[in-house]
Amino acid sequence: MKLAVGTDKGLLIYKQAKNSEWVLADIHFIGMPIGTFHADKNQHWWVAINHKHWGPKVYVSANMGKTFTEVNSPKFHTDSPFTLKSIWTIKSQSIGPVHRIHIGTEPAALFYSDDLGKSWNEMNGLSNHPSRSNWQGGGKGSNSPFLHTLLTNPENEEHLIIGISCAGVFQTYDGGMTWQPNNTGLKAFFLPNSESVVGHDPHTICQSKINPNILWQQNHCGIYRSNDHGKTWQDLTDQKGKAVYGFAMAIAEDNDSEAWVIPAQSDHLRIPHEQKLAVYYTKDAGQNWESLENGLPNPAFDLVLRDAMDIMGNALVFGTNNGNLYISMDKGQHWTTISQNLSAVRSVTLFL
Amino acid sequence: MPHVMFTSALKTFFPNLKEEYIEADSIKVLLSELEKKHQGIQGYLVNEKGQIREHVKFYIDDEPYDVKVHTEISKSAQIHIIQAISGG
Repeated sequence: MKLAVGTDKGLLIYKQAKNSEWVLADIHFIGMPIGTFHADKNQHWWVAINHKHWGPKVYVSANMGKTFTEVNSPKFHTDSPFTLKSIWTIKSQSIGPVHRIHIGTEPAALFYSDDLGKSWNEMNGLSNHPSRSNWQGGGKGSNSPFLHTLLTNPENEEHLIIGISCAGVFQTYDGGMTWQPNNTGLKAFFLPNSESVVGHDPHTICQSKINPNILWQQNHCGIYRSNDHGKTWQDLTDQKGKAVYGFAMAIAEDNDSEAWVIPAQSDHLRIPHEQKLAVYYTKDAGQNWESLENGLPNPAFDLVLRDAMDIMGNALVFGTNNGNLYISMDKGQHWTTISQNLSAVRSVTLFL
Repeated sequence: MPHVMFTSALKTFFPNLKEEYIEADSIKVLLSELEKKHQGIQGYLVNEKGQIREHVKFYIDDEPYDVKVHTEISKSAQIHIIQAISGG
């Protein structure tokens, strides 16, 4: 098992040594802000760099990081009101014989490439969605909404689910031609109408590997779960007021009732509850939440960003905005520090 | 021909980049000529609309480039392409 850690100052690759310790094996793109990392089914590594000066760039490695090649970045059409600001997610999808690469961006848009990044197509039905005037920026001082989550349906390649902050969950059933908002049951307390059709802030969305219709969502306004591919959402926010506000989320690969989040105290106090870094865990689909903090520091002032937690089997890992990196090999019961000297961690990915 | 100088930061992506004289009478032509010599460099300097990126600065004879003022550039122009301090 390997671990890719995307930070504001480079991409770090860790490997598990024979003594089970995680060791730093390689650093790529030193000093560069990593937007996202994706290892596709062909073991090609896709990396987005969100340069502050030079614009977003996309790289791919066909040899597990020995070398990287820059491919074209997606571009908005010159007639579009938008220009590309940053890349938030890269995902791949098999469509018959086609190996499709998707990229989600700020301003919120979804691009796809069927030729491994030589050319990109914008899903205009989303970019020009009639509700777009009601979308707003989702943080970091930006006025632009951004598309950070893409989920596919293994039973229907035309069905895509996306998360946009701040617009909400949208779905297409025709391969991206038309999109419908699916935010029923969500709350948006930052809007005059908290049950608005659009305008929601789904910080991240996770999909069950055993039941793809089961989705979990860590939202700006709580924690939600859906049994119907996100058509409707049930509020599973911790009634004790702890597991409420946060960004990152992971769900068990073998049990869609198990989930982990790493909450902040609130949206205006984005540090751990009582400055005690803790992962919150439910094993009963959100009926109860318990804190897992064995091995985690106190006090701590860390926030875990939306793509900075991942799970594979019993291995659960997260990195923080303060450059700390922790791993548990028993689903969060015990935590080990991998590093406390990184730059801000944007994404973590466990892969083989 | 205008004399063009680059921030060393661009050499990370274009190792062969060095100051050079380029036949161009406008920034648009200059960008086009640069792209011919260093494939992909336009995407580092301008966005998809051809606008100079927010945190990239062009200086012409020590003056910040202004698209409305510098419609033409002289044959003796000294052009600096710099990563703006605003980009961090």
